[in-house]
Order: sequence, then structure tokens, then C-alpha cells
Amino acid sequence: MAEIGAILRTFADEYKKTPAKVKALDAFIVYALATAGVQFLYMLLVGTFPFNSFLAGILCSLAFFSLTVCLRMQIDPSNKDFSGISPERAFADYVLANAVLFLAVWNYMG
Amino acid sequence: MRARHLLLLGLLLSTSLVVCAQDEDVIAAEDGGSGDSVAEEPESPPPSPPPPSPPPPPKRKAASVLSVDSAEAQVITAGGKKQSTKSAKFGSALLDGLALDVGASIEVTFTPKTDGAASKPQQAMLVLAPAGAADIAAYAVAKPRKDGSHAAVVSQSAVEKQLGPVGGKLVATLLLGDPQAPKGVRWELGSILLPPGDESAKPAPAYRSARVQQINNLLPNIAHIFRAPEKRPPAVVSLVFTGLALAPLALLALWLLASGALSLPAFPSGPAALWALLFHGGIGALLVLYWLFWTQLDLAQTLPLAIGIGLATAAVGYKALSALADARLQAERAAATPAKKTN
Repeated sequence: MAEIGAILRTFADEYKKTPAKVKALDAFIVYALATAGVQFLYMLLVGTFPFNSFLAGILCSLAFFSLTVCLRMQIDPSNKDFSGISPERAFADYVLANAVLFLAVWNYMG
Repeated sequence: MRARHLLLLGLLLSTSLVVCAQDEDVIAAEDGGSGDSVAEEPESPPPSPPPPSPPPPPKRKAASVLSVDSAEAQVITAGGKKQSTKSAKFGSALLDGLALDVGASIEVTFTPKTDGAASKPQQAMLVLAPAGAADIAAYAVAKPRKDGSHAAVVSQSAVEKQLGPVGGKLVATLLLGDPQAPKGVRWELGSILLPPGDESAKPAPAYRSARVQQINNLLPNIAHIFRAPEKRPPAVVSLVFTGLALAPLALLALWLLASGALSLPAFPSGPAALWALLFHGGIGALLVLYWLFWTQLDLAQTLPLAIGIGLATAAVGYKALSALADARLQAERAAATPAKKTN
């Protein structure tokens, strides 16, 4: 138990070094996962009717989560895999992808 | 000479026209005449066409009288043997006392007449109605024969097919009708005795006669049965989950405000601020358009607007993000220069 506490403490200390933009994206990721979790709970307790709206909602949350994770990977200064892509370019791609995603979701939501 | 030939040709043509018209008098005159006589009458003027006579008044056809003098009933056993024959004049009960056993049949033969001559009326049938039930009846259509008579065959199985397992007395009536005759013929032939039917063992009648149809021929109203709606949760449950779904958004907004990620001093200043404002406005306009698409617009209306707003947002976004990238690069260069100097 003490080891787990130490791990968590180390994680918190290291996370403080994370840039503010990446932290903001982490908040968006948690938000997307929490929204998907609430809809999953609704499915378990109440049902999936109307099914298209349920699918639109939960898939929107998961797709938004994926896109935000992609953006985080691209703007994270410690991640050297995307060093050729500027954060501004990554953000423009993110905005375009979300615009298309939301149009598809609104169309399917009914 | 030429004039004679022309006259001869004209006469021949008129003669052929007359033959076509089958005017007997003219034909007789032509037969009596010879070639010489034709040649002798060239000077006579051509016959003028008769004046048009007024059309004759339409003849009113006298109404025909449909009748039947007598009928003959023949009982045929299940084996096909002719058991007995009975005949009667119009009006008498021909079939009274006859029994229709299982497999047996009764053939009723009669000769319908129109104005005293044998004819084929449009409707000729034998109607068999149970004595106790006035609303149902079985029908046996009479078929014409070569000798002018008509025959209607009634069997127990045919009656059962139309009426179901009825037993007891069946009142037989001969019906004749034709459009030429204003009055039809109705002859009650008496009653036939059927073996008692076993209602429990036999199926219900396949169909009922037209007599059960209402007199105004209106069909009953169709009651549409819609699918039962899906079971919906109580409103409280929906409201609670709506709050739960919005709670992460509220927490996110609170965290962003508390952490300073949404602080205004970080917003670009100078000319870049205009592009940044337009970029944010473009994204907001897209979201408003999506809301309108959800509430009132269709896809065909939305897509052109979305493309227009998207292109404008892309243009101003390019400017805004380029300004941000330039500012970032300048800051990185400024941070790198003092470091080199210190080294």
C-alpha cells in the first residue's frame, strides 16, 4: 500500500512539470472519458433507446477522446516522434477533424 | 367516240356502286338491260341523289317476358345411379320430400323461355337457404345444355362447402333473371332434407354468401393498430443523467478557469488578436450552424454554409496560427540567444 502511495506521489510530482497546454488537453481527455462513462452507465441502467442517439453520443465522446490524445502526442515537447509538426499545425488538424466529427455526429443523432 | 366511251365508263362505275349498295331494284333493272340499251341511253341525265331523309325514330324494343313452364328433379345416388325422377309445373313444390344423403346429389332441369321460346337468361341459379337462418344461403348455378334446357346440381358437399355443417331443411328457390326482361322468375321449389351436420367435427364455413353483406355495401371501419411505444424511463431518471452528462463539462470549465489556461493575458495582442478573434468566431459560427442543422436545417442546406464558414475559418485560422507560430519562434530564439551569450 505504501508503494502505491509512493508511486502516486512520484506521479503527482512529475506531472507538475508537465506544460500547461498539455495539462489542459489532459483535462479534455478526462472530460471526454467521463462523458462516455456516464452514457455507458445510462446504457447499463436504463437502456439504449433511442439507439442512434445513444451511439452518436458515446461514439462522439470516444472519437473526441482519440483526437485529443492525438493532439496531445503531437504538441508534447517530450515526444520527439512528431518534431516535424508544429503545435499550431497540429491544432489546425485537430479543429478540422473535430468539425467533421461533430457534423457527422449531429447528422446521426437525429 | 371518245364521249361514248366516257359515258360507258361512268355507267359501269355507277352500276358497281349500286351493286355494292345492294339495291335490288337497280340490280333488277341492270339485269334486264343489255349492252345496247346502255349504249342507247347516253343522252339521259345522270340520276340525281335522293334527298336526305330524316333519321327514323328509334324503335323501342318491347320488353321480353321470362318464364319457365315446368322443371324436373332427379336424385342421383353416391354411386352415380339415377334413383328417382320427379317433375312439376311452375308454382308447385317440386323438391318437397326429397332427401339429400351424403354423396348424393339432386339435378334440377328446366327450360327457361323468353317470350315463349327457349333462351339462355343471364342469371339462372338455385338458391338453398336453411329453414331457420335467413341470412345465409348456398347457390348452385344452372348451366345451359345443347337442347336449350338448363341444369343445376345440388350436392350435400357443395352445400357444406358454402354454408358449413348445416343440417335439416333447406328451402330451394329457382331464380331466373335477364336484362331483357324487366321481371325475373322466382319459383320456390320446396325444401330438401339434409342429414344432420356434426358442427363440432367440421370446420367453420369457408365463406358466407353475399346475403350477409350490408344493404348499403359499406365495409366496416378499419381500426389501425399502432406499435406500442418504447418504454421510456421516468422524467427524473432522464434529468439526473442529463445532469451527470453535463457535470464533466462543468468540472472542465471550472478546472480551466482555476488553472489559468483560459486567462485573457495569454490571448494574442496586436494584429494577431484580430485573426485570433475571427478564428474563434469562425469555430463558434460552425457550432451555431450545427445547432441549426440539428433543429431546423437539412443536410443540403447545411453543407454549403458549412463549406463557406469552414473555408473562411481556415483562412483566418491560418493567419492566426501563423502569427502564433511566429511569436513562439521569436520567443524561442530570444530564449536561446542569452543562453549562448552566457556560454
